[in-house]
Amino acid sequence: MKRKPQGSDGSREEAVELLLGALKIYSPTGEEAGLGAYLAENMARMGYTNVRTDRAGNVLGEVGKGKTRLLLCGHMDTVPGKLPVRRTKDEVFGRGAADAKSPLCALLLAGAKAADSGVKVTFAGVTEEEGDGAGVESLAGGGAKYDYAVFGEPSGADRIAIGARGRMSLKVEVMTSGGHASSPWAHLSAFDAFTAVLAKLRSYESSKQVDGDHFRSVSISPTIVSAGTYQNVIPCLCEATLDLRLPPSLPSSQAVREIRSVVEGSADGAKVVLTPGPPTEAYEADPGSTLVRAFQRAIIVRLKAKPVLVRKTGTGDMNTFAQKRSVGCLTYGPGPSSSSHTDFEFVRIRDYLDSIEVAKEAIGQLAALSPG
Amino acid sequence: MNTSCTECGAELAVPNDAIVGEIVSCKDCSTEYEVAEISNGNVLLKPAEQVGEDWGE
Repeated sequence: MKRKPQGSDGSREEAVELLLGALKIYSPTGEEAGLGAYLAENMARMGYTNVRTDRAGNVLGEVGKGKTRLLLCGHMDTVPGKLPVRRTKDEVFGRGAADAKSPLCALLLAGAKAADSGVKVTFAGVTEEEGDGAGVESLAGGGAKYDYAVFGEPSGADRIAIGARGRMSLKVEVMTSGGHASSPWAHLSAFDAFTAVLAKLRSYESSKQVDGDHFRSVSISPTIVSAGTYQNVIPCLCEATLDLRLPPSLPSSQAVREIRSVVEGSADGAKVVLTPGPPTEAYEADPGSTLVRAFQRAIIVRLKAKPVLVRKTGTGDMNTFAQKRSVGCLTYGPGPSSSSHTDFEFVRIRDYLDSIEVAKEAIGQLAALSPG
Repeated sequence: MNTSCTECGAELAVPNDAIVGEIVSCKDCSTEYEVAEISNGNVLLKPAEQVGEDWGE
């Protein structure tokens, strides 16, 4: 027999309506204010107190009392691209249905439902996760203290994302003297020199692979490459932006040191300048940590299912927050992440409702498991 | 509840309040196990299901 989503019919319908309302408010990065107002209105109705908006446009509020302080954080922005919002018997479609308005609404509802659990919950709907992370940067830089933090991103109600790779962009500038394209033997092309640099980087990337485990491997993706100014002029400048993803075993400072030593001298006759962007370090939680255990037990108790621990090969707000605060973090939420950023973005209603119950249960488990 | 890691032999401490289905990991080699059975203070572990990565961001 198929297991029904938990909660009363009324609360299930209320949860779905909350999500549909959030999806109907288009909120690409930089345009989160409308959704923020919608969340604030609902937070006040659900019992959250001190509902406020900070300088970064984040919407915050508290619910529940207790010694244990938990942050529930979801992002309000989506990638651009309006999609029609529609509901079928089993699914809800729309921009942000997976990434990440269903995790956002699930955490918001779970916090309110767990008001009597003995945990002080702060809910934060943050801005610009799909941009430069200004929302979570502001939250992490604020003075509020938390013992644990949960970030809303899609994986599925029975899955807990306990790790995410780090990220850093690396600008590569390769300079040569250039020259006339009629005599390429006499002039070094900056583009050709860049390909030599890239070959060295590929070799470095290969040395940092763990068989069958992308999370513990380095990846280097050239995302922007430009060279040349005219059809018969050998380029004297090639500029490239590389997207680097780093495993927990490789801090960004070490990666930069190693890459510099690899690239130096890789293109004879060319000048190569590397400029790293601001890094976001990798994060991985201990499966036996209190917060991860609380969610594991909640999945076992509420869903009668085996918890699944996943590691993300991407990078998110969890990384930024964990880098600045020494608190246990994880990422949790409904929705197939495979539909994120696509034109068929959706969430299964059962997955969404289950995740609310799991997160609520996890808050209670956290109160029981937390020391003191 | 103590047992040992079948991969590296290190001692593996399972919390006394663990429940069947919980995933625990070896502190030394990070191998993950599922709590399969608990009886009379003894714990039986089995290898946790290996799961693919999540590409989301």
